[in-house]
Order: sequence, then structure tokens, then C-alpha cells
Amino acid sequence: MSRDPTPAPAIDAAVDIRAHVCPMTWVRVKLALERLAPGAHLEVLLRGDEPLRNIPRSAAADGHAVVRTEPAGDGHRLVIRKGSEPC
Amino acid sequence: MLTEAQIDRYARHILLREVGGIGQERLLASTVAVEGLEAGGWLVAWLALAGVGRLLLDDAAAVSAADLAPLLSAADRGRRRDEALAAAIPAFNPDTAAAVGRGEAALRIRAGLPDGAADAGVIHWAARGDEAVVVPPGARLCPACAAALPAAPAAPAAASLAGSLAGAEALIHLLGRADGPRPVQHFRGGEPVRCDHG
Amino acid sequence: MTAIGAEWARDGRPVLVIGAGALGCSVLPLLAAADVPILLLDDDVVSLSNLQRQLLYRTADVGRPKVEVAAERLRAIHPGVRIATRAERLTTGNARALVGGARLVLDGSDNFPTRFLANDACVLEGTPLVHGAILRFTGQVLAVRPGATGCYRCLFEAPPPEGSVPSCAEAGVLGALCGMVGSWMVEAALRILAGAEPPAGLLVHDALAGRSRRVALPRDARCAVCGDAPTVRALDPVHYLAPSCAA
Repeated sequence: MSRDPTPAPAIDAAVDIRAHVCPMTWVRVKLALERLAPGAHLEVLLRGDEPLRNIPRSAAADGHAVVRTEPAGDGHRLVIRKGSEPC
Repeated sequence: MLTEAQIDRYARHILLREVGGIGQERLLASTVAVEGLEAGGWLVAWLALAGVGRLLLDDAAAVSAADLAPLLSAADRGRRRDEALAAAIPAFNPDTAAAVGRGEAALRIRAGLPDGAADAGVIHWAARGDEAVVVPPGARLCPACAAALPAAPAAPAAASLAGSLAGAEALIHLLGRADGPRPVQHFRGGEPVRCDHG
Repeated sequence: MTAIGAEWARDGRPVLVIGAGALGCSVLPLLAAADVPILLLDDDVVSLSNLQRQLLYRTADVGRPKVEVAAERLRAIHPGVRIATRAERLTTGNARALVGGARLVLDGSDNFPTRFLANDACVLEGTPLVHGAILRFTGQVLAVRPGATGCYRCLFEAPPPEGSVPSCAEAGVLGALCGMVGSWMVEAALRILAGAEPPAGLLVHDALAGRSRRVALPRDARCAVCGDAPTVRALDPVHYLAPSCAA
């Protein structure tokens, strides 16, 4: 995965889910997103293929956007922009 | 804020779009009064397992075999229903404080059918023979359907169904997801009963 | 018969309950109340995230085998209950013996391969099956009488690709819904055990809307296991995918 050359978004909060397994991975991300205002950015540190596949899918299903995905240490770093409030 | 143990315990509710951490905290902050506990173990179980923060239980009648499932044990027979259930709940969920008595509550769940329409803030439920009925706040069971209910004690599956339906109705209301009038739930032998009394 | 033991032959064959999870916990006390002998199958242990919907388990039970705790709770509620347990999953190796020795199967498993395996074993053995499933706010129940009604494969054909359908572990589930579905499963099972016909077709309940509907399910002549020219004639592992991430 090549480095994204666009300016990095400012991070409003971060969550490290590397120690967790499905489905607690998405639960933790979801709880962190709940505490943010729409448009805010959440950094997620994760490890493994399963969360790399499932977190973006669950985030998109809830109306959020993954704006950054890059390798970090032995895992990955995602940046998720919170969507507008679900009904 | 939810504790680590609560995030784990309620994960399957937090995952629901209609609940989330915010909804779960709402449940933990709610008080529900349950008036009448005959065959009410299922109803109380679904409220307690969901983490409704406070339950006020009111029924002085003695526990019989029909009241045991799923929270009590045969040794509880003869105790007051409200006391036995209040004592059993903490082992299943320490987040739910169950007390005996009446008091202020966001929602009341009352055993038996309402005269006319159910009051705002009150859910009625009944299990008679193999029929299960839940009447949401403001709704009303058609008098002809009500008159046709058997006068028999609840069969276990009907009690479980009615208690589960009433529990779900309560959680939906507590979560603020009861948009608009909600339908009466009526089942006979597990089959939905369509009211055709005009 | 021999898979379960001679003692059952005197009382009659048991009802096989697959899974001691949310649906298993909801059906077990109702079966016990009807004095139905039970054989319970589940290889899992109790975890904290189960307690929101698996109502036979207490906080102190976390870490213990589910079948052990479930049997213990049932005996506490119904001291005379006849229950045997196996800390096993349903597999292609044990399914025919377990299903063949049962009067009826109640399937409350939480993954597609097991659901298809239970269905196919029931069709091949001619054992009635009551299937239940729960997801978010929706519950479904299907009673299968092999030869007389459609089966699970008539409806769903084959296990879906992994990850294409969420499990309740990924999507969540309303706890109280499990009680409703368990009740409907037992209502259907008791009708079958009494020699009567259960309601036909698939019952689908939307607990958020508070509405139910029935979807007719006649036998599909092209069904791979119960059709006119079945291709599933033995429980070959190739018909069943590996289970997806556990609930």
C-alpha cells in the first residue's frame, strides 16, 4: 500500500483495537465514533486481516467513511470520518 | 460511560444501530415497574439481561411451578414472587437493581388486559392457555378478541412468548424507538391472530 | 439408537437440541416443562457477551461448558427433567447417528454450515426438524417434516459465501427476540410430537415493527437434498463450508 500524498486529516480521537477479536473490534470503534461530532476523524490502530476487512465494511454500513488506510507497525492505521447521525 | 465488563456483556446490543453505547446507557439509567408476576419470569429475565438499571417488582403471591422459569429454582416455591425474583436477578446481571414495591418509573408493565385503551407509559400483557397478548401504551385489544381469550392458566410456551414480546416492547420504548402507535401483539398456539371483528 | 444409550429406548427417543446458545436456552425450559426427554449438543463455554441473551447462564458461570450449566439449571427448575448432554459440535461424522436416534431436532445453531448439516441429516433420516434463527430484530422459524414439507435447502439452497451474511456476532441481536423465537420453535415441536401438523412455511417476525408474516414453503422438486433427483445423498463435508467467526 503506497503512502497517500494528500494532507493528513487532523485526528480528534484514537482507538487501539489490536488486542481485541471480532466482534469486539467493531464494538470498540463504534463506541469511539459515537462520542465524536459528525465530520470528526477517528484514528484506529488494528492488527490482522479480519478487522482490516470488517471495520471498513461496518463503518460504511453505519454511514462513516474510511479516508486513510496505511501500514503501521505490525498492523494498520485507519482514519475514519464520522458520518451524520444515524436516524 | 460503560465499563469494560459492560461493553463485553452488552456487545450484541451495542452493535444494533437502534441501541449503541448511548442506548445501552439509557437502559442502564431506566426504571421499569413490573406489576403482576404470574408466569412473569421470562419478562423479568429479558429486562434484567438487557441491563435495565432498576426494576420495581410487585406481586405478593406465592411462587408456583409456572413462575420458576427461567430465573428461579424449585426451592423458591412458596416465597413471594417479587422477593424471589429480586433476590435471583443480581447473579444473572449485577447491573440491574431489583427492588420489591411500587414507585416512580419511566415505564410500567402490568399483567392483565386494560379496560379500553392502555394508558400512556403502561404496557399490558397476558398469557391465557395457549394465547399470548401484549398491548402497547395507547393501544387496545378488540373487545371481541379479549372476550374470546381462554380463562386457563398460561401454557409455558405462551408465557414465554408473552413475556418476551412484552420485554421487547419495553426495550423498544425505553430506547426511544417506538415511533408512532404500535400494534397489539396477539398469538394463539404461536400463530399470529388476525382480528377480523371489524 | 445405540449412539444415545439403552435407557432412552424405554422412555422413547429424545428431542435433539443443537446449540445451547440464545435459542437453546430459550427452548430448554419449555421442553422440560412438557416432560420431553432432551439430548443437548454444544462444545462451547459460557462467555460474558453471552449473558445478554443466553438466559440460563449467570455471571459466575463464565468459563464453564454450556451443556453442563444448562443441564444444571434445568434440573434446578424441573427436578425430574430427563436431559443428556454432549460437549460436541454437530459434524458430518456424528450427525446421522444423533439425528437418527432423535424423535425431532430443534436447531438453534448460529452458523450456516451447521444449519445445512442439521437439515440434510434430518431429511436423510426422516426426522422432523424445527429451525430457528435470529438477527438484529428479526426472527425466523421453520418446521420441516421430510417428505411432507419443504426443507431448509428448498428455501436457502446452499451455505452463503463466508462474510456475505452477517452473524449476530457482527450485527447484534435483541435479547428478548430469542425468547419469542424459542417459544415459536417449541410450539411447533410440541405439535409435531403430538402427531399434529405444525404451521406451514417460514414464520418471519420483525420485533421492531411488531409484525409477523408467513412465507409458504412447498417442497422444491429441484431441492438438492429432498427433491426428485437429490445430489446430497450423504453427509459429505464438501456440502458444508467451515464455520465463520464464532458468535
